[in-house]
Amino acid sequence: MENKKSSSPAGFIDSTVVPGDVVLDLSSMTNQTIKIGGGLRQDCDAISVMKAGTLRFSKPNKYWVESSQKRYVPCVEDTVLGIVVDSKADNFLIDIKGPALAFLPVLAFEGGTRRNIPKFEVGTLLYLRVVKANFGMNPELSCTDVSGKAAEFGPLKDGYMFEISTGLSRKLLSSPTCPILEALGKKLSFEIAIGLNGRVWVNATSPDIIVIVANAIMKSESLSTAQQIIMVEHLLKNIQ
Amino acid sequence: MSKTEYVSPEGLRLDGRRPMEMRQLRAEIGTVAKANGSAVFEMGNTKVIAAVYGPREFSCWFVVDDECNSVFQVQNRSQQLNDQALAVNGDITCHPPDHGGVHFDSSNASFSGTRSACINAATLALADAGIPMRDIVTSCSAGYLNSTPLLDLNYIEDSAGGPDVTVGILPKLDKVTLLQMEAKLPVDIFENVMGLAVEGCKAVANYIKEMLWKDEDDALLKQALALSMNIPGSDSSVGDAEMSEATNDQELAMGMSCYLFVVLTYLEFLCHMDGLHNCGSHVGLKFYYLAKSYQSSITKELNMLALQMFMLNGSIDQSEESDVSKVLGDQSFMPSIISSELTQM
Amino acid sequence: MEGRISNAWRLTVNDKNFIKTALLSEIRIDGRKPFEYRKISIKFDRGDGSSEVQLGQTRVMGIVTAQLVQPYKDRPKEGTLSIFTEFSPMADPSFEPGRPGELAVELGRIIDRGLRESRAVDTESLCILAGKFVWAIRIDLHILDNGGNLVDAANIAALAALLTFRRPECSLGGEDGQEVIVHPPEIREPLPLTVHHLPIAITFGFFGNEGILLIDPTHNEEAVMGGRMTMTVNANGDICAIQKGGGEGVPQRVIMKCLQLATSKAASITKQIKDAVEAFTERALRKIKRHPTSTDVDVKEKQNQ
Repeated sequence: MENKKSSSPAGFIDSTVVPGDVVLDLSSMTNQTIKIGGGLRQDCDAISVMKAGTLRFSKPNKYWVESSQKRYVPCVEDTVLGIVVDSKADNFLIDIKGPALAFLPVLAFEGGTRRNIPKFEVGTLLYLRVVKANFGMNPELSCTDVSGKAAEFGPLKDGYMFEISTGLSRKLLSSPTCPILEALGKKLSFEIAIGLNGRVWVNATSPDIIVIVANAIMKSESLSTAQQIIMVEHLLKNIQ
Repeated sequence: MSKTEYVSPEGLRLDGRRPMEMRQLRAEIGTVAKANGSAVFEMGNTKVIAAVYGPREFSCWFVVDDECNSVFQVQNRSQQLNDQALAVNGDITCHPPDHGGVHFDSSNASFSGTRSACINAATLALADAGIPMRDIVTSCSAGYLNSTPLLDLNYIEDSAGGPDVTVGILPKLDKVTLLQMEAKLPVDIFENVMGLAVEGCKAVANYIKEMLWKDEDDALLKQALALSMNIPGSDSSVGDAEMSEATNDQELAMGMSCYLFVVLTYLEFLCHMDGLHNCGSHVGLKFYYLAKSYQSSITKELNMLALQMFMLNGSIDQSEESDVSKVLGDQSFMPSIISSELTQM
Repeated sequence: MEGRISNAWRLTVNDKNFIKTALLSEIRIDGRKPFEYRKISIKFDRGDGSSEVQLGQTRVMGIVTAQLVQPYKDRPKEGTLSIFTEFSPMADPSFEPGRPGELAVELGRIIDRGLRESRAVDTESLCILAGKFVWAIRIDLHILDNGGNLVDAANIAALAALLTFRRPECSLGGEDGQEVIVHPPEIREPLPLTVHHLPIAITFGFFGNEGILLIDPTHNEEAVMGGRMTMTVNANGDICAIQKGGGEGVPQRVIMKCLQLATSKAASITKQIKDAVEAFTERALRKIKRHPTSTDVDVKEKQNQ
């Protein structure tokens, strides 16, 4: 969606917005292109908010609302963790926590042809990329990166998967590295895959490490950065 | 608990059994002609018919476990009997079927204290239907009245409100799959009572195994007879004829509709007709009994009718006589085996 | 477009395997040991006769009400106790509205057997006038959140609600002494029920042939385990009910081991329930002053507790 605009986007950026807030008035803007992301909509000349959350702005012209929720709304280029629900002739049906099941075409693998279709048991956990996410259609996934390479995508073996809010998963993925992961990583060695749909997969050599990491992440849901660090330190002290 | 004396000073129970004696067991396989598998199981005067149909398409509200692709469904005739249904259902689901999509469909109508008989009947019926099972499941109850552990409670003992333990076991694996207990009991006594019930289960298991072996033999025998004597109709065709004839009867029509289910009857008045009853494989007659007794109609009339039918049947079919004596022999033999086994423990 | 089949909750193969392998080294995903119970919190937010129990993520609300009814013909001198369960789709999308599922029926039966058939509540003291009026006690159990092990939580909720329940005092009057007068709470202090003992339900889960045994399974563990058994025992060491409805078979010695574990757990849970009830009653007594002169205000205050 592109619009012309001229003025600066008021004082809404990085502050909390609620549905109905008008954050931008396009009538007062000209000669500028903006891009609006999730949680925002255009009503004629007004850009209004649809979800409660924090309004974010990224240079040069992107606006979106960041919120934390248990539901996931698929968005193109998100990396997600999906569970195989069923396999059809052309597609695997994948649960990505969205409102509808997602399709993973059987050919959407590196070097995928009709002859080497992978076999996935129902319940297999996959690390995937959202390719299409249109309203009223099942989202489409892929097991390759943009260039068609397998990259890190594909089935995740062993380990443990648990669910968190989408906001926390975004925090975990943000850079610089999230304090919880940093603190945990200093003491423990583990493998982790975070999906933007609020699913996290952890693997380690021994089950107790997995349990510690999983619980630390799940508990950090409502804690501030400082609290998170204290909590992790406390946890690690207990096991040694 | 009421003050009734359930065990006499001589150590005999209300029905004359000793505390560790079981009621007379009787079973019959393949009684419902239309079902894929069926069985009648009697423990004393408690009588259960189980019928297995399937596989069928299952309705979508069942959660299908992906490890075991099939769902066993137990239907019961009335909502109050959930306890029994749960017992049977829980029990059935422990048979892991190797092939998917088997559907067990049966129901029960029952009075209290009949879970065991239901489970035993269901096991036999499943075996008859040829559904793959890891082990047979048998069940027996035990109670504790007048400070005496009692095996296999009858109706009166069961309704006394005392402690009552129902156990279902996998005899080969020697594991307990079903365990239900009600009313208060201290731990150490519970152990005894449960042990007693398990021994009872083992005795039932022996009986069921015997039945299954005999069933195999019988099938062969009947085949041979049908061939040699050139009598049109093996056992099942006789049953069919009887049933279609009987459908004219209003009462029996009702009986027919409930033979889809596990029908259980509590027939005090049938006990003195046990001899008649044991004459074996006469499906039509059996249903007449059930349909009638279900309506609790007049005993005398039924007696006469049954007698007539028996006579008729007896005069036609000479070969059954040997069966009758065989069955009778078995019956008198069984309780003594059980009691001797139990006293050894 | 294919919807997300009834918003079903799914467990991945990874999780199933992890739960089992972690248990082999005696680790559970919430950091508990196999024989550790989750934290129980008992709240009495709605005043007398209602409780809200939280067991980990599981939440159950219990409400006890009473009504004067005619007794059953065969038991003219006994009040009645009945249990109703409500599994609303709010707690778990897999619960269907309206029709009670198998789980709901089983849960109701287990609690019913534990409470009624072990005669935990003295039903004879509920008789007002033999053959005419007895109190019918009704326990409603609402499942608010399904985090696994609903039976134990619901049982605790039922007990806590029963212990705080007060019924109005009644006396006989009239010319022939056959008229029942129900005294309002502000005139005469309402009476608690006579509860002889507290039957505590303890649920065990069995995993596979390795003989893994655990107590108080969570939702995830329930989805993986092969069999379950609920033992209702009281602090005196009596067994009040056992329910093991099929599933994985277990050897007899394991059952006896479960019994020992259940007895020790029951003692500590009994204490927790009693402490919570005592704290509540003390608080309630301090707050409510039921003077003979008091008006509706006091009654309201009591309800707002």
